[in-house]
Amino acid sequence: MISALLLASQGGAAPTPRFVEVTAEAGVSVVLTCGRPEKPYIVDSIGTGVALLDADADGDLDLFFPNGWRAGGYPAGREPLPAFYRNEGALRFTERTREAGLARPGWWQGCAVGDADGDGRPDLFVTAFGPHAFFRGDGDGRFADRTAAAGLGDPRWGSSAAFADVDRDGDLDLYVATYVRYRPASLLDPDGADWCDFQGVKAYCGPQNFPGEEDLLYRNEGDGTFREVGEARGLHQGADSKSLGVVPCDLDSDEDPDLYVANDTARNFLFLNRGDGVFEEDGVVRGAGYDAEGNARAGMGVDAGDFDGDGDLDLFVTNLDQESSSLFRNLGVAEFDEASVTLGLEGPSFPIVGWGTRFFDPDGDGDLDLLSANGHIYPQADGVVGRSYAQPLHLYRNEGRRFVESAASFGADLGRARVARGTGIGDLDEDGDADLVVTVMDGVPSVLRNDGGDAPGWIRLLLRGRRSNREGTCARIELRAGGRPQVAEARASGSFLSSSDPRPLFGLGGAPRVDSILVRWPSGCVDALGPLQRNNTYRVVEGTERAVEVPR
Amino acid sequence: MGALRFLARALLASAPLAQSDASLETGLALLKAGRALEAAEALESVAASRPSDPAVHYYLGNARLRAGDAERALAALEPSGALEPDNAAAPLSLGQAAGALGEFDRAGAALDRAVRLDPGRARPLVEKGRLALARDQLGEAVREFARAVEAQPADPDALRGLAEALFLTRDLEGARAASERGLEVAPLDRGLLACRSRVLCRLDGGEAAEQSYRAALEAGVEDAEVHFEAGAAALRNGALPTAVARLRLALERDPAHGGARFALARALARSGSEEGREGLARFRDEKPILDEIRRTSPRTAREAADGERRAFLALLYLCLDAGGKAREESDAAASAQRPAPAQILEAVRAAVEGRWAQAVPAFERLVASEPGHPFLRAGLAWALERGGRPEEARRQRSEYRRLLGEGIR
Repeated sequence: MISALLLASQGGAAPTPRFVEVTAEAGVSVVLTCGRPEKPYIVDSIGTGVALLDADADGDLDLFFPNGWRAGGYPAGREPLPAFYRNEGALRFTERTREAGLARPGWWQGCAVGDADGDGRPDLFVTAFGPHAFFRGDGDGRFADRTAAAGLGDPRWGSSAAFADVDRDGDLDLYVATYVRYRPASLLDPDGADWCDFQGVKAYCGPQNFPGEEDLLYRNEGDGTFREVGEARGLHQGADSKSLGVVPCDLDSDEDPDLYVANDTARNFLFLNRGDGVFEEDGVVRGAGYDAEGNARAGMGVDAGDFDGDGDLDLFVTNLDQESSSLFRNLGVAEFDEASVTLGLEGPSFPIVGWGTRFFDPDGDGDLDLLSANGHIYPQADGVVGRSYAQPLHLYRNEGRRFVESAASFGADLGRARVARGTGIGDLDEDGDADLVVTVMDGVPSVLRNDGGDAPGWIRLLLRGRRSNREGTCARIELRAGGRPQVAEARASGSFLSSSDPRPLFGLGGAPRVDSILVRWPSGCVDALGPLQRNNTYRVVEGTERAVEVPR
Repeated sequence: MGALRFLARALLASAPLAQSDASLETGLALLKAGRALEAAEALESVAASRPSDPAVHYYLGNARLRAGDAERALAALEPSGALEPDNAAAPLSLGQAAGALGEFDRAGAALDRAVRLDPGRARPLVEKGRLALARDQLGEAVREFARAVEAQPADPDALRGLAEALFLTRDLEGARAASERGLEVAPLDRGLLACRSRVLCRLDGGEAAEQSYRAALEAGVEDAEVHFEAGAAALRNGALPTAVARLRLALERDPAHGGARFALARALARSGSEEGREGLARFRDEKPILDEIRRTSPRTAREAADGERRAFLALLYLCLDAGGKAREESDAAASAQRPAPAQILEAVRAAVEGRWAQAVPAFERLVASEPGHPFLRAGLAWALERGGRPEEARRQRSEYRRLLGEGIR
């Protein structure tokens, strides 16, 4: 373990890139909304996510922002709408929501992207406080509403969602995290409130006041329809199910996707896949259900990544302030140790309320840093000593033995206070480093361009499954460059309410080339590749043992 | 300063009143000797014979406060403050009494008044900091303790308060600095030694932490939190036998310490012990009980006379297999000013004494009388388990879980 940590820190000499706010220049101007500004209801505080997806098959990432609603609704013609932005290249976007067929008002919250029908075009699932929606992508930037036909319009309050082939039959199933049982939007009084006490100030009543809602697992039937199978697959957990974040990933290294679910004020769920899509929940015994002191925290966003370079996936969960975020270090075969204190994350994350999060490598040094997008749940926090509604983003830099909060060193724009919620990460300008999109409560989202993260060299993979699901979701990639091993899974899901760039992108820490890559597909097929030149994107088709350079 | 003024005035006023004078001197001596209950008894008659003497009411209020009777302390302190409104001592004590009763707004107003009347002193600010901690207002607590340190930089109470508040906000370097500064002023202060040990154990768990833990123990610190932090540090460092020993010590001091229970189970599980895995599996059911004890304990302490509350606490401790604490609470429930209802007392006492043949039916009757109460179910499940009826215990436990979920509505 120590040698792995030391090894993981060898690339620390990489120059620090800067994140530059380019929202206005990029043409992104949608105002996101969620309830009334004073947030009298719990649903008002959740916010919305973002999806980074190549909807028009031109090779770059477009943007989709679900938008919210408020109790009592809006006058006709003034309803907030979701926004779809087409990437025109060079970080310029044009708004094409109506043309895309996505101009549907609703109390939308999160989104998941996956090629559910295996036609090579990404489809879009949108969660809501109310019936969810499923849009089939036609690959030219337009979507068709297939909610009813697919059987995906459940009205339970959905938060994050994730596509993964949990039963390994070659198509993508869908997990929908649902939050609490709450009265429908139509019964919320536009002038009313659910006030409780927060440090002597009135603020909305939190999730402790409402029963949990069982999450949904939709089996892909392979004919354009889905069937809900959560209970039969062992996912029902009763009152503790107050889910806000979900990440599907292989935590016990047995080559099937497990599920890790962040719950708000209740233990987190670790669903281990038996191999056939049936799960056993074992979070508490395996050390990933509670924090190190046996407390349930307010789990919001979640991600998985091998931060310590030991070959297995660790878990990070963002929580409420005065709780600290939780990093669960995988000790091997899904036994975890909540290591936030040891890794220096406890103090810096104590004062913030974290939401969107991602393990990623913004400086290209070959190890995984951590992003946490922050903002308090209560606007009233501004009236309480030591708290604030708007909070800076945190970027915890991996320094081998510890993480160090280093947002300021990545430029002033990153650390600017925002009431952040959803977070998507991806290479928007195709320059070989990861840019950020962060949604902001009742405001315009932030697009933050990474300048310089590509300098230490990079490589990107475009996966195409044949026996496995078409996008290779949950394929495991084991890369070696400059003597350093890296492990990642191909995955768009994770974070909070959001979907990120599905294409695995690796920083090379100055290594002149990639020595070798193993792609372990969900089908069990393994492709051995390399050596490969750096600063290129390669297409890898399952079972071909070839990496084909994709021209820029 | 205000209290000294009271003392002078009380002694002057006592001159013409020989009998009450003697009682006053006795009361003050008893108070000084830490015999608060007797002091209060002695001062009662003095207060009755000198209704317009603010000093006597003040001392009576303090005696009652120290004797744990905050409600009657308030009744004495109110007239003291009214009779001499420019003296900071009465509102300071009144703030403490109101805080102990959970009357936080009233406490805050009284302490604000004490600060205004005596702006240069740390003490009222320290009390404000403590009140903020009781209200879980950590930022406010740090601010008040920092103001107290600014007012009197060498005040150990202020430095201890600041160190503890900074520890709770996980500003560990700040907490270390405050506790070390405090120990320069008061090297044997157990609170400061305890705080420094907790801080260093969490900060790095290295040799400095070990030294500070040993120093705290040598000074007679017996705090569950100190053992817990030292145990948790050992667990983080992989020193599993040390972790197990220290976490067991923490649980001896406080069987309802959730962190220690959980960490002990993890340490045992990592040592390969089946006891550890069983402990982790059981923890899910124990967690609501631990939370309930934490939630109700402060109120139980404030309302010591309420036997039913004590009996309920005994039941919760039983469910944690904490026989000693259960017996303690059960005895308190039986002898309380308002004794617990016979039904619950009978169940708890039979269980404490291991009389399962009586305990199980007694718990069954309790459950029948209140079938929707999750913790009565937990008690029944526990008694059935101990009484050798594991299948029925399992059923009751599952009902307990269901009821916990239903409780959130």
